[in-house]
Parts: sequence; C-alpha cells; structure tokens
Amino acid sequence: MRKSRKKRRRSRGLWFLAPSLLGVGYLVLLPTGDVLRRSFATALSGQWVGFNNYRNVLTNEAFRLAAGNTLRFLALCLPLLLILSLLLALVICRIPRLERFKALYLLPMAIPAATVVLVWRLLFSQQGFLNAWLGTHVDYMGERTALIILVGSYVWKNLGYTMVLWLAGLKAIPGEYTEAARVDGAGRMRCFFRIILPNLKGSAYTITVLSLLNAFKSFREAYLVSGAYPQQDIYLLQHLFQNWYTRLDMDKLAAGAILLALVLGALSLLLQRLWDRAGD
Amino acid sequence: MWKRTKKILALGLAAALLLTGCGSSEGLGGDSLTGQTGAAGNTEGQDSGGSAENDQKTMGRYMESDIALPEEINFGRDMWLTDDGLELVAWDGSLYRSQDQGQNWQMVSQVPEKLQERLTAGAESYFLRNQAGDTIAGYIEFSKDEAGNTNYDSYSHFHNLYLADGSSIPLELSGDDFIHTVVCDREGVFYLGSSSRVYRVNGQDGSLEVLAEVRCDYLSVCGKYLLIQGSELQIYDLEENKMAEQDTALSEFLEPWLGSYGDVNSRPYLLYMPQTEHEGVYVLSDKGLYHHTLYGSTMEQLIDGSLCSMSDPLKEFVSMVQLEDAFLVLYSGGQLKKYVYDPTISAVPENFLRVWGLYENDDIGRVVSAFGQAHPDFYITYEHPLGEDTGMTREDAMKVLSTELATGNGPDVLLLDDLPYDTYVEKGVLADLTATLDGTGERYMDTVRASYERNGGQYAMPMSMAVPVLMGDKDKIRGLASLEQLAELAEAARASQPEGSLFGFGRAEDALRLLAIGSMGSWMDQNGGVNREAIQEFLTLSKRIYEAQISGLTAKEQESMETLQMYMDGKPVTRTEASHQLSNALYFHQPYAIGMIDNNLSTMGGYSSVVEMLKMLEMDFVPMPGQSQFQGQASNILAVNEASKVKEQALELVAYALSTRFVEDSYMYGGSTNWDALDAQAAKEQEEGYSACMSFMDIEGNEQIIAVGTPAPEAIEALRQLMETCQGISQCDSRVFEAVIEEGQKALNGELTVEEAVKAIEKKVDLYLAE
Repeated sequence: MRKSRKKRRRSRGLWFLAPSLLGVGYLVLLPTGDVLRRSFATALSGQWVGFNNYRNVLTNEAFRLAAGNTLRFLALCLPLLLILSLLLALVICRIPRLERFKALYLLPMAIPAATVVLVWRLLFSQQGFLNAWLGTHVDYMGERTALIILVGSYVWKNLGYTMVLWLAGLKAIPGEYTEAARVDGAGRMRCFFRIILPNLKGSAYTITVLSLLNAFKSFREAYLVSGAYPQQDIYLLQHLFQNWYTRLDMDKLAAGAILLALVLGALSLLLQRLWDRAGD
Repeated sequence: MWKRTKKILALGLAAALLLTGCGSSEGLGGDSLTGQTGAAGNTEGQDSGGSAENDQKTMGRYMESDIALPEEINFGRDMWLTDDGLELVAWDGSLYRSQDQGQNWQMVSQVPEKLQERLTAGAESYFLRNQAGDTIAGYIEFSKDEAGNTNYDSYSHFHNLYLADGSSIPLELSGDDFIHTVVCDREGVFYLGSSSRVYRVNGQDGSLEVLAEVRCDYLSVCGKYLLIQGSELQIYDLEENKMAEQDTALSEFLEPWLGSYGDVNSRPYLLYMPQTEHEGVYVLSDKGLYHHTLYGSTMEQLIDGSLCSMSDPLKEFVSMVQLEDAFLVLYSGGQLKKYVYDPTISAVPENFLRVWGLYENDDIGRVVSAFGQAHPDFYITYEHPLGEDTGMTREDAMKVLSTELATGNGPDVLLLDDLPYDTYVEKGVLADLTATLDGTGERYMDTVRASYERNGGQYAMPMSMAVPVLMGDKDKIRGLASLEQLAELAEAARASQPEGSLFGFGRAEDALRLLAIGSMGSWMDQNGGVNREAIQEFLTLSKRIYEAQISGLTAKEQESMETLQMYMDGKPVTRTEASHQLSNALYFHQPYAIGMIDNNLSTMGGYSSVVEMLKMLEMDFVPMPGQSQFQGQASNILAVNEASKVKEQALELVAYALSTRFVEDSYMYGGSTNWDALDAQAAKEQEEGYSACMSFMDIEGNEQIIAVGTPAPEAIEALRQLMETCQGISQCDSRVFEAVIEEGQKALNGELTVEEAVKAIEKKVDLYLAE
C-alpha cells in the first residue's frame, strides 16, 4: 500500500518535471545532437565524413588564431575581473555606506551593447576623443591596443555585477568567525586567507563560471565595432563561427562548436574538481 | 481541501495556456503573402487569408489579358469612358472611339495640324484633350538660323488652349513656371500643376486662376477634390475653393512616390475616380490596384501587382477606366491591358516561386513580372533585403540566406551578384544549368559559360556583361596590352601635354577602380590565395598613371571634379560606364578615357551614345590593357537552388531571363550574354530606328548637342568583335578587391609606400582567406 503510494508520488513528480524535460530535450538536447551529427557530415548533403571536419578545423589557421585569441582573452580578463571585483567587494564591505549604491554598480551591465559601441567609436577611432586629447592619429581598434580595449571593456562592464556577487558571498560569512580569529591574534591577511577565502569557495565557483560565460558576450562589442574581420588580436572564435555560418561552412562550424563545448565542459569539470579538492 | 484547490488551480492554468494558443502553430499568421491578397477575392467560409495551405481557399482573382491597339494609335496618351463608348487619345493627339470595350477603334477627330506635327515629333512639354474636344498643350520651339539650321541654344516656351471650334488662345504663365502635369475634371475644366503653383484654366478666355502656391508633380481630380501630389499629398476642395484636410491613409500609401517627378505622359502610380463614384478613388501602383474612400482609413487591395504587369519596373501608368465587369489600364509604351474578375480560381496562386538577390535589380524585377504573367498558377516573389530601409547589413542578409539554405527552405532562384559562387557550388547548393541552357537552342557566349564551369557543370549564368575598354586616339592606343604600356602612355601624354586632365579621374579611388577592371583577374592565385606580386605591380603602375594624371590638373579642373562627384549614401561613387567617362572626356577635353562598355543598343547610356561620343571626340576603343586577360564583368548572375521544390519552373525562369524573347521585348539595361538576343536586338533597332538628343557642356560652359541614333552596322560589328575577343568573366573576390582599393588609395596618395599597402592588404584578407 505504502509502495504504491510512493510510486504514485514519484510518477506525479515526473509529470511535473515533464514540461521542463520536454523543453530542455527539444531546445537543448535535440539541437546538440544535431550539431554532433553535422560535425561528422558534409555541410548540406549530410554525407558521413568521419573525423574529416575535425581534422579540417584543427588544421585551419583561422581556427587556431581565433582559439588562441579567445584563450588569451580569457586568461587576461578572468583573473583580472575576479581579483579586482573581490578587492572592491572587500573594501565596500568595510564601508557600509557604499553598499547603498549597489544598484549603481550594476549600471554598466544595463547599458546596451550598441551604446557601448558608440562610445568606443567616439573614444578610440582615428578621429576620436582619445586621439584629440593625445594629439595622435591612431586607429586604436585597428592596432594591438584593440585587445586591451576589449579586456578593459569587459572588466568595466562586469566589475560591478561580479562585485555584488562577491558581496553576497561575503555577507554570508558569519562575523563571529573573523572576530574569534582576531581574538586569537590573527592579522587581516591571515583572516582573509584562512577564513574569508575558504568560506567564499561556493560563491567563487558560481562567479567564475558566470564570468567565463559573460566573457563570451564581449564578442558583441568587438563585432559591432570592427565587423566580421577585426584586428587580428581580437579575432575570436565567435567571429570565425559567424563567418563560417555566413559562408555555409556548417560542417566546420559544427565540429568547431563541439570542440569548444568539450573544452568548456572540461574546464568546468576541472574547476569543480579543484574546488572539491580544496574543500577536502 | 487545499490540495484540491491547488489541483483545480493547476488544471485551470494549464487550460488557460492551451486556450491562449501557446504551443499551437495555428493562428501565427501563416504566410505573410496571404494577407496582402485577401482582398482580391471573395472568401468561402473564411474572412481573410488566401493561403494555399488553408483548407478553405479564398477564391477569385482579377486575371490580366492584352488588348491589341491598332498600329496607327501608336502610344496612347489618355483614355476615358463616355456614354458613346471608350475613347482614347493617340500619340498624335487624334481621338479614337471603341464601342466594344477596346477591341475595335475608329478615329473620331484630330487636333490642329501644327499641333499634330509637334506631338508626333515629341516636341510638347505637356498635352491633354478633354471630352468636349478642347485641347491644352505646351511646347518648346527652337529658333533657326539664316541657313535654316536649328539653334538649340535659343528656344521659346509656348502654352496654348485649343478649343473644339478650331480657335486657339495663348496661356499666360509666369516665366519661371515649369508645367509638370495637367488634368481635367468631368466638366472638361483643365488644371495645370507646376513646380510652384496649381492653376485652373478658364475654358472661355484661357485666363489662369492660381488655386494654390505649392509644388505639384501630379494632379488628380476626384469628384469635388483636386489631389495635389508634390512633396506631400494636399487636397483642394473645388467647391469650397480652399485647401481641405489631409487624407492620412492615402498620404501614407503614396509616401514612397511623393517628391519624385518623371515623365509628363506617364506616372509611377495613378489615382483614378470613375464617374459612378463620388468619394472613392482607385490607386494604381506597382503594388497593385487599391480602392480607397477619401478620408477613410483603409486601402483595399483589389489586384495584387506582383501577379500581373503592374509590378513591372519598366512600366508606368497612363490611364485607367472601370468597365462594368473589368478594369482597363493603359500603360506607357502603348500597351492596353484588361483585368477581368474570375471567381473560379484561387485568390493566390497555389505554387510559390522565390527569387532572391542581395540588391534590388530592375532587370530581375521585369523577369519576375513577365514570367509571372506567363505562369498565372505561380506566385513569384522577388526578395532583395538590401537597399531598402530594412537596416539590414550584407552579413545579416547572408546569414538569413544561409539559414534558409541549410534548412532546405532556400529561395528557388538566386541572384548571385556579390554572393560567393564557388562556395555555393562547393556546398552543392546550386543546380547544374548545362542541360537547361543547351536545351534552349540559343547561342550564349561560350567564354562566359566557360567562366562558370566547375567540375564539369555550369551552375550560374549572368544575364548581362560589360567589358572594359581604353578609349583614345586610334594610333596611340592600338596594340596596348599591358598596364606597364598604359603607364608609359600616360607619362608620355603628360610630357607632351603638361596641363589638363588625361583620364578624367581626380581621386585615387576612382583611378584604382577604373584601372582595376583590366587587372583584377590576376590578383588571386590558383589556390585561392592573394597574388602578392600582381597586386604590388598593379599599385606601382597605377601610382605612375595617377601621378601623370594629377600632376597636370588645373585648379579649375580639380574644382570641377569635386563638383561633378556623385554621392550615394554619403559616399563618393566611381562611375565606370564608358558613356559617363566619355562625357567626362568631352567636359575636360581629355585625350583618353577608361570605362565599361556593354552591348545594350537601346538605352541612352548604352552603346548608341558611346558610338556618337567617340565619333565626336575622334576616338576609338581597344580592350583595356591590364595584368589579366581581357575579361568582362558580369551582372545579374542567375542560379537555381538544387533543393528547390519547383526546380523545373525555376530553371524555366532562368532560361526565360536569358532568352532572346525577354531581352528583345523588355530592353534590359545591361548587355546580353546571348548572341541571338544581341543579333535580334540589333535587327530590331535597325528596323525600328532610335533617335534621341544628348546635351553636354564643357569646362568652359559651351553646350554641345549630340544626336544619338541606332548604331551603324559597322559600329555593331566592332562591338561584336570586342565581345568575341573577351576571354571570359573576371571573378576577383569582392573582399580582396575592396581591400586593394582601400589600401591602394593610401599608396597612391603617399600615406603608405606600395609595399606597406600590399602588407596592409594581405593583413586585411589573410583571416578571410584562412577561414
């Protein structure tokens, strides 16, 4: 009697889950499966070509350049953003008055990409304000400075948001821990490394993954400013994927997307493993 | 209890979701085409729509048929309906009447002989006859010198009212007024619209009453209202004698045409009010025939323009008449068409055929319109996402196309201008045209066909092509083959002529674009990479030619070049047509010109005018010396989607577009790639004759008039030989071409050295080519 009630309850649960499962299946799993299939087939005719597409992608110079640029961009902007926002969150945490302006910190996130792009153009073009101030005539988006501008823009846009996330994490740490440590004679640095940082572990994983995903959105700005073929240093994987799509290179696009998904998946797992190990 | 409430609530929400249509594909609008044509027919069991997919089809559509006019009528000027039948004014002003709805015509009366002569010669600036037999006309008369030769520099404008009794009254217009349009109301009162005023003509004494001081391009009388169409639509109340309120719906509908003024005898749209109506007006446009009640809020579509001749970009409207069961429309070119409602066929054809190109193209528009008339069972649409106010970029448009092609829902016919032909062939997007082209029995240019051959098949064919030529003194240009020789010629010319323009270009971009047309074929190597050496050589030699040209330009010439510069979307445009470059040569008294020549014999900018200008300048032409073989530039490149569900009809459309029948009848703007079409066009031109006048001014302000006519057989033969020597179509990648032009300018202007420019070009296209 009890078993059948349990079964009924479980099946009722499945019914409630069904809509979202169907949604995920239709909108995520099915397309992913289709991309996986296409990565082993020709672009339009769908003939099986084995790993040819992967071979083509991995030997493609543009792919190697875009992948390298994307990695470099991530390696530069992620640590920069995470460290800067944490430091700012620590400062704000100490000055409660500044916490009142939380909404203001999120403002850069709310500014549309088109507006950001307009400001970029006004600032960094050959006839822009920066050149006027410096008395130069440099196309900053057409030179190696483009990468610095892109990283700077990413950090500026996400700094407030990430800082608010860190603040939430910091608020969740009971004040008694640090107070007790202080009583035991621990200094500020020791408190930070021994108490605050370990307690931020849960938040840090989420914030890192979110920042990683947000980093991929920087493509919008790069594309809107410099088009499909920007300065080589800011030619990212999304540029390449978009150009392949435009040129109907669906085969290469599918293989490239699968490779990127594998790398991102592996990176997430690696992060989780590192976090878990640090927790042990 | 609470559990039950929750259950009921959950079920209720689920039901609400279903009822609001979430998840249902029905009711989402279906095909956008259907809404347009719903008004065309009566609906059986459904109020709107007309989709082929709907179970209950909307039935009824106006079908188009031709009515042949007698040869003596030539081009009709006006047409109306009286109690005695249908009346039509012929090109010479004679009035014809038909009592059998246009099948047979009898001449009723003629205009005075002098006026008839002027009308036949096309010397009138406007002409209108009313139903009472009175006529109003304006014309230009050139003075003659003592020897009897026409002096085109001296002329007078005359405006007259010719009454039915044979008397004539001169009209007194202000000197600066230029009449754009003339109409008459049901009582026969004439109204004139000029660049700044609207007049009412007193039929008794010819006096003019100014009704409004506004710009007027077209006038229409609708009952008691005079619709003044200038930069905006204004309505004048003829009973109250004052301006009336605006008609918002009509103004919005006419907005795309307002502000543009064309021919006085025909219009891009027409407003017509039949005798039986007092508030209703018909609007005829390329979108179709609409009915609108003045001051109402809707425009009701009666005939879909894309299903008949109305959408033909070459046709304009002259007049329209509503019969008991049909509409008669008189088009420019003298074609009379009848539209009869057929309730037995579906409102929208059940088969769809899509033609897609990046940019709007009138030739393709005409193909679509003409092919659609021959296939009433097909709804043929022509989509061109760029060039309208869509805000779409080329990349956006190509992404949309890629999505459609990848999902198997691509357009049936593709216009490949500025699209990657080789990519589409490689991906298997395009159908092989070989059998279709071979099957037509027409002689297409072999070299053009060969240029599009890939892996044993031909997947595209251009409708038209133009070839680059160097024009100048026969002895000096004969035998020139390379760009190096052209550079030497330019330097020698500068040495012997230290001052004055040599080639007509004042900007580095213009120079590069003109010189590139004979060289760009060599800029890519066989592996699809950039040919660095060729580009470097091109820029080096172009710089020499450009410097030779620039070094001798006078301040006046430089100023004139800036004034004459054409702009499009705020950017300067380089005109490469030979006719344009020759008019520059006439203006600057240049010894040479470079331009593209096509084999079009029937338009002002075509070969006919090139022949006359060459004659005047005592010049000849030779294939453009350059780095590559002598190659032409193709346009209107047609291809068929391999996955098309109506592939047979799509192939038929392509064959029709390339056929002699189409080229001969519809006067394509470019030069055909079909020898048969070229021969037929030449024969037709010789038979029918063609004459026009072109006026030119030189830098000193002297005006010259050139009479342009059908080219002589030897001129046509010279063109034919030029086309025959063409080795094919140059297919330089557009991104590489634009990179060379953009960075090359810097080299020519001295901002970069040639080597730096070449490096910048490589840097620009490296990524693109690496992909």
